[in-house]
Amino acid sequence: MKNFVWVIFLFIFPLNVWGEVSIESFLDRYSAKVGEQVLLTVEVTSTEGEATSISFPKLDWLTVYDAGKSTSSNFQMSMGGGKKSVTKTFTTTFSYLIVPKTKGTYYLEKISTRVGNKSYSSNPLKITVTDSTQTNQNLNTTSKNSSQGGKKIFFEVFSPENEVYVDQMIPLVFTVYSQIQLNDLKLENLNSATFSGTWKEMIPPPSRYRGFKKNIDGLNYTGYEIRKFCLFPINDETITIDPISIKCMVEDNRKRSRDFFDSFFSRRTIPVEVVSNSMSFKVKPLPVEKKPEKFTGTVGVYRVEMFIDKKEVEVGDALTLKVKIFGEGNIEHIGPPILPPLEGFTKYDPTRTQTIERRNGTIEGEVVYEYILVPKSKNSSITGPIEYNFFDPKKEEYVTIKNQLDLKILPSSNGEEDAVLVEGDEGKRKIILKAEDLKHIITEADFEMDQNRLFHKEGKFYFLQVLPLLIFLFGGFLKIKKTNIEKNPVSHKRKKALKTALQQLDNIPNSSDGSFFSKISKVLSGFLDDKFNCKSTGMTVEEIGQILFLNQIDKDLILRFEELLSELDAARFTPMGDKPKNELFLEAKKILRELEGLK
Amino acid sequence: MKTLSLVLSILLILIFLPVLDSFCSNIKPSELFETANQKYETGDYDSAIKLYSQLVGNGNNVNSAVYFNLGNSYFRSGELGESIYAYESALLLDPRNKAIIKNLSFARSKILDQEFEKKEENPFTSFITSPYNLMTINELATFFTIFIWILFLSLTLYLWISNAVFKDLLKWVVWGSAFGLVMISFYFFPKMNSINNYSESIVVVPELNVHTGPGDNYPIHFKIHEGTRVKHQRDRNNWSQVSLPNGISGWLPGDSIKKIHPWK
Repeated sequence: MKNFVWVIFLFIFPLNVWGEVSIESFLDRYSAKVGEQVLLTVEVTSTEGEATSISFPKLDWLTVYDAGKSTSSNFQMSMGGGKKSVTKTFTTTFSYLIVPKTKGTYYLEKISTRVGNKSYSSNPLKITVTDSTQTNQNLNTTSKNSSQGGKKIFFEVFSPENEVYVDQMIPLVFTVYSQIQLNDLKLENLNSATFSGTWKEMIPPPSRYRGFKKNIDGLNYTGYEIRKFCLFPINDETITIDPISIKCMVEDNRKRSRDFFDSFFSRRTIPVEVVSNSMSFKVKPLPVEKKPEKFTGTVGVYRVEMFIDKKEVEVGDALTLKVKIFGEGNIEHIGPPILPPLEGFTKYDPTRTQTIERRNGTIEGEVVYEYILVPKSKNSSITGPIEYNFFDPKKEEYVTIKNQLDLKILPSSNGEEDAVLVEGDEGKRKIILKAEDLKHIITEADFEMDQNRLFHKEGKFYFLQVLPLLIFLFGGFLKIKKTNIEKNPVSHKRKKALKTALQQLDNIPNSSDGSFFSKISKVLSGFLDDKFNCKSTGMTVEEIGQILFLNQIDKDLILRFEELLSELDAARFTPMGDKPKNELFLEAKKILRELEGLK
Repeated sequence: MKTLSLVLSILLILIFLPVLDSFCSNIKPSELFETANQKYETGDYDSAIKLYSQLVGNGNNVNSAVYFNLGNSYFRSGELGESIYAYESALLLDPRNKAIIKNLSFARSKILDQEFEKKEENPFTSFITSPYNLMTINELATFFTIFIWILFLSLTLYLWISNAVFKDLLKWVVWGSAFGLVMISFYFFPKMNSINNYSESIVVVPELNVHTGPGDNYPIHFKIHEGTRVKHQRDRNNWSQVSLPNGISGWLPGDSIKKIHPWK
């Protein structure tokens, strides 16, 4: 019964309440070969604080690489004796990669941590280490695919070469093979790797890694070529590429969280450090046999083109000799061509231009050597071919290319026998700028055009912008006016009545017969028609007076108007002198103005 | 009638004033130009430079041919920076002239600071910006004026014409000219603004140090060579602050650069 109570007691109280600190360690497999990586995980669960580090006993049979740590925490609330208590539990997972160095059966024990002032040790782990075997000698990788069998992730460096010449290109490919999802690669060590004894060129990585499928020992892996380098050995000695470690985050599907929601909603990742295999290359010196006398040290698979820009050149004129070397190899180390003796020529320092393309895991490019040569006299000559030589590592032989230049020197068009040239950079600059490619000067120019005048800054420009607007506004105004007249012609006539009448009066020719007076009567009648919208023709004087009265015209003015009309009527048949005639004319004008309201 | 005559007279004077001015002038640029060309043909580039520069310095009746020939003379006498300056000026006055484009491109290919040179635009951008690049500011201003006139005159006629067929036709003319005006405005106003604040300059000395501040006592920031195109920003104590297309800026002696501004 006592034992049963203890069992119940242990079952009810969880580990973190009972034990407070626990340390547990496990391996991803318990048998491995020498040199293989094994993932060791140490998990510390504590209610007393977070474990910060793990210490190992001295172990000669293996190497330990730190692969990072992750920490999680959770809160647990409990009620007991009417009191509420909250417990915070820290779970710290330490990851290590262990690489056994010797074969045998070993116990990994006394892995310990300190939490607070106390030290805690983990459970012992047993691991069996067997001999590593190498089967494939053709491919230069020390940890072969076959030896990686069973691992979930491994890192490999590969090269198709294992024996090279000095300055021959060695392509290196670093690949991560994984069966699990990889996140967040940290490649600082790889990027800063120096590869001693070599000239290093890194191929720019793609913006996004593309995986490829590969079956290794019956297991499917996704491989990612994460970095490519091209190395060029400097000396004839063995080069060793040391193991390089990279870090990445991988999904932890080894042990799920106890928390249902945690396991459902989040996928835990853990940091993992993987280490590449080491690799060595035997570097041979360039063969002495058949080595060209003037060999400049260029190694690679190249093609060479040589040409001059002119077949004939005058004394004092420049010609350009170009030697283009292009292909695959150490472009930076491509040396200059060997020029034959240039008798009677001024030769300026060559210009070297290079283009390098780092792609598809190789270095390709071209180098152009450009020489400016100027014959100083008619007797100048190039005696012998231009030569370029290099060592082709694929054919394992020296290649020499020769080209005899066919050039004719003509006397100077200035009639001068010899050309005096400025030596050095200044002379070269002047010679380059004497190029014939320049288009000839313009001999005809229209000086009336005045091209440099800025039209938009002149008043004329703004005047020309405003004028059409003014025309439009004026046209619009007239249109509105016309429309208004058409809509209300009576009102328009009324407004214009006086002006029209006065103009008509002024236009009456001065004659001594009665027509003068009848025309005045007609104008007055027309004024009345326009002003008061009536038909006064044929009306008697009294009827006209009546109309004026109805339009509230002053009685005296009506009388004067009636009197004027009677006098005009009488004057048509009674001849009169100039003075009374003018008086009548002026009276007519005066009355019209008064009828309009003007004094 | 009298008023109309007066307005017409003022209009004619305003339009033909520049022509009258050139008639009255004593300078005969064509003769000077002819002499300079002869000097060039005989290989006397220094004299040709002096005469072309005299024409340019005069300010009146300057055209792209003068700048172009000046550029050729400088190029032949080994002054790359000055020649590029002259070609650039010629190009601003006559942007479609193939000889200018060819020689400028040839001269630019000799610049040592090639990394600062303008990169080629993609074909679509080139097409969109072609009216801006290939038309002078005066041509754009003229087109702008023409479209304004067509627009307002057709609007005025539209008010007065009662014939339905003509009205329909005028409607199309109004819309067409309004569209043309909007399009030309997209190029004209930015170009006008660009010319009013033109700050492109050319380095005219073979090589010089660009300092971090306005003086020799400031640290050397970088080195540039003749012919490089820089943007002038400001002046202080005979030193000019310039910037390169890649955004780097620094100070150099004011007389080592020449601001491209061929207009009056």
